[in-house]
Amino acid sequence: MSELFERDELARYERQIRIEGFGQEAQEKLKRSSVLISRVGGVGGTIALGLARAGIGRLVLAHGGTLTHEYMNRMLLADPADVGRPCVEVFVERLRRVNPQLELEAVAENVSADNVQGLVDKVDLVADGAPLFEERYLMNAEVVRQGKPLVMGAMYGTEGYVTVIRPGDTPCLKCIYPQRPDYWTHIKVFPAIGPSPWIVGATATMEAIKVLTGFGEPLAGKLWSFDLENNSTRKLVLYRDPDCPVCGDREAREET
Amino acid sequence: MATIHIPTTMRRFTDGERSFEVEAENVGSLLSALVDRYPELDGEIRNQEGDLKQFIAIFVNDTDLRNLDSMETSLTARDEVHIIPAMAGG
Repeated sequence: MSELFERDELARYERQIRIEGFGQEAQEKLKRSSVLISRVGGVGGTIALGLARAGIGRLVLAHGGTLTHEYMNRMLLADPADVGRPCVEVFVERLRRVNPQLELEAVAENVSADNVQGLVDKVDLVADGAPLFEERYLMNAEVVRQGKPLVMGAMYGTEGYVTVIRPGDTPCLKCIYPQRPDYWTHIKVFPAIGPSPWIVGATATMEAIKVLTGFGEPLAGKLWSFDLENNSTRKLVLYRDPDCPVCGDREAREET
Repeated sequence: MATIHIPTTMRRFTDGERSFEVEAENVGSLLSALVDRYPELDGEIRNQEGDLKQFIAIFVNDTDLRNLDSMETSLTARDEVHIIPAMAGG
């Protein structure tokens, strides 16, 4: 038995270790890895749950505020009885039950200009499930600055998409979408039903596992897009902007 | 005729239609034909200068048109065009 794992811990991962190309080596990489999850809602909460069950070593959760009734149709980490409690307190309780060996750091704040550098600095990978573009652009710029991978997952109604951003190698969020939509001015903009954020979150979980372990082919430079209304899916080839003010060449960045 | 697919956020401007066929030589003329048919879509897709809004990505046969010839990207009858707006829901 590896010293990395406690007694009986590896037994939880037996089925995934049996996946061809995964094995105990990938499991050990996962155990040594850390992920920041920004906003632990329908998408981020699914990622947190998925990574905890898969055996990630450490999670940093960033999510401010208290639980409200309207979260309950899509949040896998909370129940109606939790309404009114601080979000991260509830999430930590649930995740500790799912994976007692998981190291958890809970920050009762959303990502901001003041905390983004320190939060990204703590981890190997960022998983972005934030409901505001301001937070998403902040994390995008910071992962580019620190050269760390980011898995981006987002949804609207029955639609959703996921991509992997590898600074220096793939388009960043600013290349894909230079500006936020005019109408996306607050967190209540988007309609949601559970399966959409869960599919986004489950896919983003697997992308994080792939990036951290080297298993499979991550969605680097590709946008995996779906609409559950008619079950259509696409794997779209993204554009990298050489003049991107965030990830383009240094000259272009300095001009902005 | 190329087939264009409309995302949820824009279907209120297309009478709920999610996709339809449009006769067009290239992506630019396809968008013009689209907004001729549904004028309210124009403000959703293009800015006052007539350029594509920067929160919209358009894919022709699964490739961002900026990897192709942008608005000049030519279209054939079998081509599929998808409009994918930025989203941030979770």
